[in-house]
Amino acid sequence: MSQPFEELASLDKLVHEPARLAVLTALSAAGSADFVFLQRLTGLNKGTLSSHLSKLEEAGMVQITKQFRGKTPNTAVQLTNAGQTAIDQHWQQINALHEAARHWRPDETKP
Amino acid sequence: MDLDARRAARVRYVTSRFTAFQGLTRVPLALLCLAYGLYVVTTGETPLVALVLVTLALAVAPMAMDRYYKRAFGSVTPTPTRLLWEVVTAVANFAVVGLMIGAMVLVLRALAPVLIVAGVGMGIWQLLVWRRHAVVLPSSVAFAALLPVVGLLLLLFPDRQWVESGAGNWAAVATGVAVLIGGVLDHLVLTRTVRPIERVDVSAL
Repeated sequence: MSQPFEELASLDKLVHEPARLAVLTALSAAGSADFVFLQRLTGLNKGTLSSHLSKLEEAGMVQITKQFRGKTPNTAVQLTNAGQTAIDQHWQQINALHEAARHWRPDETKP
Repeated sequence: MDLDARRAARVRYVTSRFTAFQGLTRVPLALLCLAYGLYVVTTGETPLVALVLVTLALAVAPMAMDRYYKRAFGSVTPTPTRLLWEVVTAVANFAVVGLMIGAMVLVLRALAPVLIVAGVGMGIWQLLVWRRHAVVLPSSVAFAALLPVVGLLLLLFPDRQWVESGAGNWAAVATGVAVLIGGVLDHLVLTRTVRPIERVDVSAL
């Protein structure tokens, strides 16, 4: 069995990047969220957030809908089933790693 | 701080109850209760016309607050499951709280003390039990549940002596304070949760 710190390398970096992780985590608790909310949550500028969302959309994790609310353009982002599975698995993996790291002793690494 | 499991749980919790955490929308109602109660307590007069005008003015205030939240924090659509759960909770709260308060009022024959206990208790509940998380829906429904109860009591006991007791004004003050504190705390939870996640270098992990 590999050591917990080695397991870190197996984390999906597409999901684990902090901004994308925050976006996916928030979306996992909502039907959908708009661009302003996600921008506020991540603190990113529009261009950078758009870039992150595009990557998630390309990976099939989110669905982006552009619409008008009255005269104001609104971008709604919704998690897909694949995205939901990915974020759930990712947090399970993180929690498992956290637990493993807590119980890890340096002696165990010696042959 | 990075997005650790604890922060993530907080983000999920607040996102799923996003509208409920918009506490400032309840502040106008709280101020109305507070101002009305204090005015009547200090002057002994009941400013009915002023009350109607202020109520009308304050009916617009939540809409302004709603626009503020949409501009500053964006908007979140709850999941269908969450929406259904909130409706079920609202109906359950409506029935339970309405019956409880109604029963207490009937037994004690005193509306004001019951309202004071309910108002202050709701504040304490929100502060301690729910750890400052929003209970806007249950508490709103609890207040709404008072209306049919009071209406029924007015029909059953037309003398209304117990409804018009002086303590009722203190009930309005207590209710105002409880709603005000709850609203501000919910707003603080929202602003502290929906704040930028600090950047870390993923390659360092």
